[in-house]
Amino acid sequence: MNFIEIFKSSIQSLINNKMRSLLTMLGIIIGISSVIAMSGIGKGGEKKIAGNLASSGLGVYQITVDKDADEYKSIYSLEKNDIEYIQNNVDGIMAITPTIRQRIAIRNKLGKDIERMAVVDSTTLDYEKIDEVVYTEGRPILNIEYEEGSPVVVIDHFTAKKIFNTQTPLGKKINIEFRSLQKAKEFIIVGVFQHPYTAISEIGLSSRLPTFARIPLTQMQRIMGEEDYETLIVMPKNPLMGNETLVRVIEQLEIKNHSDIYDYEERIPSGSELKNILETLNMFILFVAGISLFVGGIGVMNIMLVSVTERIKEIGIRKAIGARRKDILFQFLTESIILSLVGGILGIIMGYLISYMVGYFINIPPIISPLIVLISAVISTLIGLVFGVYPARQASMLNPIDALRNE
Amino acid sequence: MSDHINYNDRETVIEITNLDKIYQTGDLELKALDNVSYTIKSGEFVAIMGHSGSGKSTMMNILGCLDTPTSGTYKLDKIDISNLNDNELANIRNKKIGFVFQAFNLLPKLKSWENVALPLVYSGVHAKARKERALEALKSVGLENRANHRPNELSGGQCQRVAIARALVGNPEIIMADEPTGNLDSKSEGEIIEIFKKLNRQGATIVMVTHEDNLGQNCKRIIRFHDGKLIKNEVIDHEFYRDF
Repeated sequence: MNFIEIFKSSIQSLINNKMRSLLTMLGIIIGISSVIAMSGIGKGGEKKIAGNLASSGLGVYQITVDKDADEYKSIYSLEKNDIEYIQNNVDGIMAITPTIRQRIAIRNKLGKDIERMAVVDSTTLDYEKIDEVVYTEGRPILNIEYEEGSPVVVIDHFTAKKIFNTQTPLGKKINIEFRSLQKAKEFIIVGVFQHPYTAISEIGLSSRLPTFARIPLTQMQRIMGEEDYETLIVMPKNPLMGNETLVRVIEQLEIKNHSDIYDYEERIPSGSELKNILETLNMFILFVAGISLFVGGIGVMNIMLVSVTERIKEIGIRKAIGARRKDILFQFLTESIILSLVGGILGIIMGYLISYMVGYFINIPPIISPLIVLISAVISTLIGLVFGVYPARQASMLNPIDALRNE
Repeated sequence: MSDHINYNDRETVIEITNLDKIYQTGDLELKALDNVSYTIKSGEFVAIMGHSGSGKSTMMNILGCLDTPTSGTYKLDKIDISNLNDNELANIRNKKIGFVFQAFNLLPKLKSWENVALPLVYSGVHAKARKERALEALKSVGLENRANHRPNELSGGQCQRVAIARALVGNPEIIMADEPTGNLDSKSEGEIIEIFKKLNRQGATIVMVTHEDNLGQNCKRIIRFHDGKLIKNEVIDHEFYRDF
């Protein structure tokens, strides 16, 4: 009996018991559809967040100087001429900027009550290339403002809305307190940019988002009373050549200044925690889906055992006219595999529908990879195989005389 | 034509020698067949008769390779069945034996021709050839116009004719019928017996288990069982056995 024959007769016997087949598949359908839906939403969400994160950290490197090293002298600190030297001697750099990141408190000049803790980046114009943001109001800080160190600031739109509500923040003054320096200064808001974690806020996590602000580095240096920088931010033109480019930058710094005091690392995307949460969530859902698939598999086994019992006579007839053990084994095994594979396919379709529906409501376009579809199909086939073996073996071991006597 | 062949010149299809079948239930030993020996040659139409409990059903199961003897030998077409494993027995049932049961034993979900073709499925005949041969077999029992009916759309007699077609389709060495008319009215019974007689005239070797004497009279020979023993060999068609 060849495979097509078995396949046809299996399909036929499943169709003969439509309702029962469908109910049996339910466990598999639920399991597979939740896997598909969750991975679709998860991947979609990850991509949306990653898209936002890419502008704030991926493929960007940070050079630091070790001021505590024994060989360190103040002439080795990173300065403006180091940047020029690197730009002249290393190819493949898209942008390079010194940066000072400080925790600050922003206080509204008018509404005294509103105070927000924030992260401020003090940088140069090149930083706009490294950490691209979309301005929703006003403009970026201009090159001349960066160079002269004008007291101007751009803030994220969530913060702007919190402080100024419906009023335009442009031209308004805010008081920025540099707590670690115990200094404060008034800044004029010239622009509002879209918060880099907008995507995250859309899935309902906006309340704990940090505030972001940018001011010219020159102004910051003036406030700190220092000319040198502790860190440089470098973005290579080719993100895949990042390490090679940075190795050359460090080489040049070592040639110019001193060995063993400069180091670099990739700026860690600050959204990694969120990714962790998503991964944990995914694991949990996979666990639930796994249980559902296991229960579904037991359902398949149960119904196959019932089916074998009901068809003892048929098995007897088939054996009497020449079916071998393996013919009967394959027949029932194929039935259980088809049962769970069809369940798996229905589950995949359901999962598609669910993920697009849910994705529509939480504004995340789902991404369903062909791999996960393939894996789902393979898993449901395996369920049919594993849970079908026992009933199929029972069927194949039946003695034809006893089976024929069964009514 | 076949009448002119001497009985002794015919090929031996079944050869049973000193065959015992013992059922063991706990301490109880039941000798269902006790030292049975006989041969059946090609072209014979043999009735196995006896009262219930005489061992004729056990004999039929062993002849049909559904069961194996406890001791003694059973050779079918010169192959010793006694020592074959499950798969080999299935193969023998498929290729050398055509079964006709009292309860027809057709698969209710399959059409007549599909039921008839089922043995060929297991012997690996291609789908197209299967259908041709199934229709041919249906024609030989006069049911070519019922090929696409399912068993529940057929009368009992028609069902049994489908079952006979299924027994014929693999060109077996021997056809074994176990009370083939037990579930039928007398008119259908007559039809079925006529079909068997026709097949036998065409050269088929047939063994039929029955407990009805009038059916036995249609055969060429009757083997009678009592308490597991072969008690009588009764020739009906003396012309066939004239040199015996």
